[in-house]
Amino acid sequence: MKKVLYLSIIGAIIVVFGCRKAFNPVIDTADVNILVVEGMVNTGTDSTIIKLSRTVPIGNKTTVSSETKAVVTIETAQATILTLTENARGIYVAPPKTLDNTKQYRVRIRTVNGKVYLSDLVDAKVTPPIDSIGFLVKDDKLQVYANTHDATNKTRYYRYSFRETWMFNSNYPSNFITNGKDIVGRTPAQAITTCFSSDTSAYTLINSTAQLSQDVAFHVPIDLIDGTSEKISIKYSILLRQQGITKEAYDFYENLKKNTESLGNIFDAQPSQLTGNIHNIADATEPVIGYMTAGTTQQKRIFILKSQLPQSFVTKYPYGCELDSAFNGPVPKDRFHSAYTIETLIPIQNPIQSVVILPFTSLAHETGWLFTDRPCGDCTLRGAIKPPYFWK
Amino acid sequence: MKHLYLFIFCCFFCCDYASAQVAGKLLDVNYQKASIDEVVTDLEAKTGNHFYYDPVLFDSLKVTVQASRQSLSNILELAFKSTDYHYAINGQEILLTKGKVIQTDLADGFFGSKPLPGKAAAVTQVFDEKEKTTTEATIENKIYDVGLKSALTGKGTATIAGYVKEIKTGEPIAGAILYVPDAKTGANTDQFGFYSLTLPKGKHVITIRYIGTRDAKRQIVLYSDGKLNIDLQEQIQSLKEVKISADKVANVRSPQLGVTRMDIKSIKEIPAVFGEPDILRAILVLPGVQSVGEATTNFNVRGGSADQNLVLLDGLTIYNPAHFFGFFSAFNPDIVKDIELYKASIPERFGGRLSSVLEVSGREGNKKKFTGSAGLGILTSRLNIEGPIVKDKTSFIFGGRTTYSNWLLNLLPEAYKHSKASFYDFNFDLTHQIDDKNTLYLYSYLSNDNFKLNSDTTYNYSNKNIALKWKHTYNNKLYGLISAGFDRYQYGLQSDGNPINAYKLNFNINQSNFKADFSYYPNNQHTITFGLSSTYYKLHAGNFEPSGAQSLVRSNIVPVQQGLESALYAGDKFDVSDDLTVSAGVRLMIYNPLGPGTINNYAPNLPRQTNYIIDSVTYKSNQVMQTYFNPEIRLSARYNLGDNLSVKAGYNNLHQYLHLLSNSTAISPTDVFQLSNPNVKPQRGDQISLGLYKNLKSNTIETSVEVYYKRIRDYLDYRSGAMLQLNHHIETDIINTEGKAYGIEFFMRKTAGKLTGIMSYTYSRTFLKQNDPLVQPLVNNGDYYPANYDKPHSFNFTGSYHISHRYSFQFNFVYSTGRPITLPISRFIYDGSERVYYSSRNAYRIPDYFRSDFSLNILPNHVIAKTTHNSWTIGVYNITGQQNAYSTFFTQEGGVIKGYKLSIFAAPIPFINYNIIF
Repeated sequence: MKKVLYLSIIGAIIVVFGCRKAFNPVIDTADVNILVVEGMVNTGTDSTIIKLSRTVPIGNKTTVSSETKAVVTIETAQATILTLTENARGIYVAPPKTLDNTKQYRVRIRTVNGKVYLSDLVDAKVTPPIDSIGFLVKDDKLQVYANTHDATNKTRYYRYSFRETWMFNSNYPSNFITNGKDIVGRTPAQAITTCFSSDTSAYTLINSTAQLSQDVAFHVPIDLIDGTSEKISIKYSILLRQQGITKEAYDFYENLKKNTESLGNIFDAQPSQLTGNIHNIADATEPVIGYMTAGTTQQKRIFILKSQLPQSFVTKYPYGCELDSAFNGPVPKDRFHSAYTIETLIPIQNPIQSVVILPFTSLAHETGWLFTDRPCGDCTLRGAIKPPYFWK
Repeated sequence: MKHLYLFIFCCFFCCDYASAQVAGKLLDVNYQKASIDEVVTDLEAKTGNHFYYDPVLFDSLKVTVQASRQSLSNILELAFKSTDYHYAINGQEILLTKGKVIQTDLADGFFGSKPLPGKAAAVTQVFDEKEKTTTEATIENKIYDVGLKSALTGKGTATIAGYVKEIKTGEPIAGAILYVPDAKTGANTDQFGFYSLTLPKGKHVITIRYIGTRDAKRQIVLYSDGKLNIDLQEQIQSLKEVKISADKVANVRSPQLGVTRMDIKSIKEIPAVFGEPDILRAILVLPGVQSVGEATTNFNVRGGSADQNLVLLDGLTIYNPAHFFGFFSAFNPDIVKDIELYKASIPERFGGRLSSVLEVSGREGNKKKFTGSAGLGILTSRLNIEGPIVKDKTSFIFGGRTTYSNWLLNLLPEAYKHSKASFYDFNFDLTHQIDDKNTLYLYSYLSNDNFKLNSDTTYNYSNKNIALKWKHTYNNKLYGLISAGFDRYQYGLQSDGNPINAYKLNFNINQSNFKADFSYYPNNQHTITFGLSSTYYKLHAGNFEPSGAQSLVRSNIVPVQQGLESALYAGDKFDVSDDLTVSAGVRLMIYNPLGPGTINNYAPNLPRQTNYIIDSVTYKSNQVMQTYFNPEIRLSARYNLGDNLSVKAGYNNLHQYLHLLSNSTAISPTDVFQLSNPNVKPQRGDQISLGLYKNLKSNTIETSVEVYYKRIRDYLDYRSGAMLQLNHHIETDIINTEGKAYGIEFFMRKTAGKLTGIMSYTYSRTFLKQNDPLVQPLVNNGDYYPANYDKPHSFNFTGSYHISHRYSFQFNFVYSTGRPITLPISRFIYDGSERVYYSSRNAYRIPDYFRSDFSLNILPNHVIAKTTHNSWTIGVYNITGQQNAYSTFFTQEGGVIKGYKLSIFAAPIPFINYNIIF
């Protein structure tokens, strides 16, 4: 709570007198190559997915170094109950299987280099359903929140993740296309004006009701969307996933959040060691990043329409866009020193990467086509035409 | 004074042409210890002559003459025999004078238009201890008789004592140097301006030196123990000023190491960010004082953490001396007289903190007339009023300061626009002189900060302090100071944005203290101090409660903590010879954590975790839980190697029972205090230091080199992910750490001439190490790592160039190595975004810090008759617009790790400040 205040004040001063600049110190890239384990044992109706990767030196261009060809199994204290298979590089999956929620589970990993890692036994937590997802307008932003409760007061610690999907238009609608010879009308299959895009949560979302007398989570902030964002320009949807976690798991995520989402301010805590619940069985001092959890999850989806939002929310297209003209005949040099002719637009791979928008006729009765840059007329650069299956 | 001069010159005039004329009439007189008034009345009645004299000069004369049928001149001869009084008879007029007046020639300039006081011949005056008169000695060439004149015949020594005060305001002058060249002895005035000197009986010249005042001389004839108050004149109008800093002489002569005094005048000459003189920033120019960043008033002294400094304002303990999260210091510069920072030789009378004592001394109210001043700045304004309540006896001083920084917040983007910030502070002090021997002082201080974020979270913190002191002088050799006070620091936080989660969080720490300090000057070789103190702490480390009817917040109240810190101390400054002075002291400290409370016992040899609690002991209210007894030693010695050159060495050890729990780089106003208890050990530290001191150019340039080595034990560090707030068993999150610090400090100060200022360079290191075998994993595998404020190279220059009396330029240059930081060394993806894995702690550094500031001071013209005097300060902070890293951070934005460097004052910041004195 106090962090927010300080950040605000420091923010205040920075706005007035300060500045923020990129800082890229020379870092001694020692060979730090730590196993990263992420995932949960799903005891409900979802798949159990565990991702294995390795840390990469900060200066390296590669972002992901997947840990492949490992043997990943889920076990109770007594027996092995699931064996995961590597679906994609570093992603190990077991199909849904309902497990006993009163038992404790752990994960065993044998990496390709022969090392064996074992997590601590964790309780399976049953997650209560999400009561509702709502939104409210906060200054010039849209705050999406969730409400939930557990009448048995058992859950107390929650973790959230989401996948948001939105419909959007390109800046200019394009109903025409070149076929290599002429400019012709677009077929429905060639439409590039309305698209769908999606993204996943990029921040750790956790909430605790441990300080409250009842296990009630009210207006838990989920996402903060700029009023000018394209996400809410037509219709927006969010699928929220809620997971009840243990206090220890909560502490882990909070530490993770502190270490990467709010650090460096002199009022922020100094970076601390990230300790999870997974260990090399032969060498307890080897650092391993990750915290295994077990239990069920709950999901809920809502849609938000532009009409539900304040009129003051005006979408700002991510690019500056202009229309240009190309003449069917020769360029009238007396009025235009340089202009395009239709020949520029005809090739299928046209050299100026343009999209034809509309035909025009000038006052002097010259005809031609208005066109724009591809990012301004083609939504498929940033999305897909096909609506997702859940879209309604 | 004027009248006195006039009188003296009248005497010269008359004596010049008056021939001694003997009245023929014979008289019978019988005076037994008669006062001059009685004598004169009698003689006037008997002779019809008229006597001219200044009763003040004769007030301690007692005349015993028995004579019959004697001439007037014979009677006067007898009456003034063996005294310095003289008479002259001019017809019917008889002039009574004193000293050699009658024999001297006319004063130079007598026939000119104005008499020159400096050329006045000496006159003498008798002050008799028995008469209880204390003399206000203001004239240099007057000979002051001190003590019972009849005791002159005796040999041996006598003690002279009194106060040194500023003549216009009556304010005591602390740290003035009194030196008696013929006896090769001297003394310093204490914080009340009191001095005591033991000298051989007879004639002496005392020279008095103090920064900012004229050098003064007083001629005395010491007969027996007596009092002499000395008034010094402020040095303002002399054209070629030669200021002699008391500090400079003290620097070489006193046995203390690592002690620096700065007066408000030199603090005001350091350019400050918003133009208002800032006391806590000023001390950063001193060697060995570091800070973690620009926007904090925290300071670290010789490798100690910020909570290891004791900040005292006239004896009031100020827990949080900062406003606006550290952008401003909480001291009103208009009421501050000077500051003194003790880095090494901490006097026995102080204790309870490991690193340093910063003593801020306020001014005393003007005892003669009502005066005041006001200052206007960009963000703050201040006002100060002072004056006598009973002239020369009782005075008050009031200081107030407030801000109007909301305009700054209104410049912010929408997200912060509805934020509001305000602060104020008030000082109110009273001084009442009951009589010569008893003085009462009342000090009070109140500061408050409010901040409202986006209209749903409010936040405030406040210091509240009051103290009453009674100073009693038993005799010239012994005085005592008894004080009682109450200090409080509190903060509160309230958030109502989410009705279900709405909460209030309150914290406060209270201390009541009693102190008795005595100073005893048995002779010139010894200065003995002794006393006792007791502080009772009551700490509410966090009350977390619901706010509003809808709130489901569960109350979480950390049990009250209580403790009693008591100390008995004694010390002696012993001048073994002219060249060697030793100062030795001991402070016996006892600390008792008091009930009520429950203390957990943890299984031995297992990590301190709640699951290893074996049992717990519950204590009743005020029941003693434990007794920590810690004797502390304070030792230092000085040896003169030559003229103005000395070498000093010192050792001390200290203990701290009150800790600030903070795992951020800078301490913040909402950090929690914790008292030592059976599970939280006191922090311990000791330091050895050695220094070489040399003054040049008649003490106008002071130089020193000091080296130190310091150990800190049971320094508090925290477990990864430690919970410091609302923690009912803090011992599970604390790791005891060991620290070492060492360094060399070069210091140079010039206080006279057109260019004055301070230059310092420090090389210092501070390392910490976690060596608790029960804690896993240890930071840096249990090896030493640099502390947050470890900045090896540090250079400071602050100078003032006086073009004329009205115009002066100030410059400021600061350079230091960047502070250490922990940087990410590798990255990985977790929970939807890229994350970083950190290096060993503090393995890297932020870029070096450099800043230069400039300001111009325009003082009022010196027409004394003007009712108000205005002054301006105009300047630019960070002229070069250096983008110094205030902090660096690595954050993931949209799933990608980015490194940033944040600068706070990244552009040249102009400022203007207007002051008015009335």
